[in-house]
Amino acid sequence: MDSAAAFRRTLSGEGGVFVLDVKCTQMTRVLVDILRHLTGEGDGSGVVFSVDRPSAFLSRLLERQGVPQDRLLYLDAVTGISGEEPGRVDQLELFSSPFCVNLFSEFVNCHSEKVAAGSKGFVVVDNLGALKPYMTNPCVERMVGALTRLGDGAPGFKCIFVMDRGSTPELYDIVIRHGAKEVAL
Amino acid sequence: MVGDTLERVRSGINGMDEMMQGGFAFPSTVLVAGSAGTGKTTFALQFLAHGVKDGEQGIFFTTLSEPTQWMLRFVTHFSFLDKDTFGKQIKYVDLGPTLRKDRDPDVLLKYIDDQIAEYMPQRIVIDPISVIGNMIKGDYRMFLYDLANHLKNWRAVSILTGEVLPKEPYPVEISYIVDTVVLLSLGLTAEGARRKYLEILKMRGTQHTTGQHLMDVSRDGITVTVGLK
Repeated sequence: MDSAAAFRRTLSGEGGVFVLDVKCTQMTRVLVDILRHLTGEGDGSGVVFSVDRPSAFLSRLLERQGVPQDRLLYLDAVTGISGEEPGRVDQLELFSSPFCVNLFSEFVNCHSEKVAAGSKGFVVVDNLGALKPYMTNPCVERMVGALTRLGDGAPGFKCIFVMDRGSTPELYDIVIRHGAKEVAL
Repeated sequence: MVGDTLERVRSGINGMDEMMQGGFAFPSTVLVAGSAGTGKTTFALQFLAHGVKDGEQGIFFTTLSEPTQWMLRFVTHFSFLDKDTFGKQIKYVDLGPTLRKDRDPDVLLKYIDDQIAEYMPQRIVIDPISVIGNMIKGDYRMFLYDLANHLKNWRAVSILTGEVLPKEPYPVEISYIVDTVVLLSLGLTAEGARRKYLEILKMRGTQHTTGQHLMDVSRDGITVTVGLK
């Protein structure tokens, strides 16, 4: 699967909100492809929200796959374990536990300046559907709204949600309601 | 049947998915336990081969230091297995040298992580996991805990095969850290014939069929017949 090529064709360098519909088993591969592409665009800076696992795993994956991370800021929704990666501590923002996940949108709002500064190019949300057991739909709606607003006034900015429509159709619809263009991979 | 909020992948074992709401939760860890000759390695290979059909990649970690060609020699008669997929869609990795050289759980875990990060599989097998307990220095339970945690965070379904010891129904220390326990066993029918059985002992977040069910191993692999005992 050449997801990066399909993604490039769809985006054509334009900014906006996008939702990538990816089967759960292919999500990791697609994410690596997408980040390889995005970190090679512009100054390569962006924010990655890791929803269902410590971002240390994604960081290690990208390192092994040769994807540059020096301009990436990681935000973890569910764990404090990521801080074990000593070299990347300054790139991490941590929540204390999954039980704080309803505060995700408030977090984005409170730290919007920092997030916006780190995300000149893009924000990628890895597996938004994993929030389903923890968050009510209105909370997801607020979070998606907060993330999509980060791009206000930045024409080339991309906000990208990676998720499996089949497993969480209601969350997928929330993203669509926020004007996301669909990319099926 | 309760609403299913978990994503699932098919096991590839004929008749088994109907016992567990359509397949293994993704991601999750599965212990397949049994004594010698019950079909643990066949189960694991059939699971990996099915992933190839669904466009997925697999890693087979062996702890036995058995060269690929030796292992393949005994399993190529199965119709579900295409030996050409080994080295391509299914990567075969020998943990033996790392186990014997360092015997350090952290080094072993890092080696496993590196292989997974490089190959990005959706299906992982460690066969057999029980050997590691006898070889590493340090806390085996802590290693198992870390391993299970890492495997799930790599977003894969991982099968760990475990030897059942005499007087022990299944490897207890491993059963605590996995999401699913499948027990393969041998038993005598009323007519005195020795038959194989499959039982799902534990499956978190899933309504599953309980009890022992007849299991046949043929050229087409393992087939479970629910209800036949």
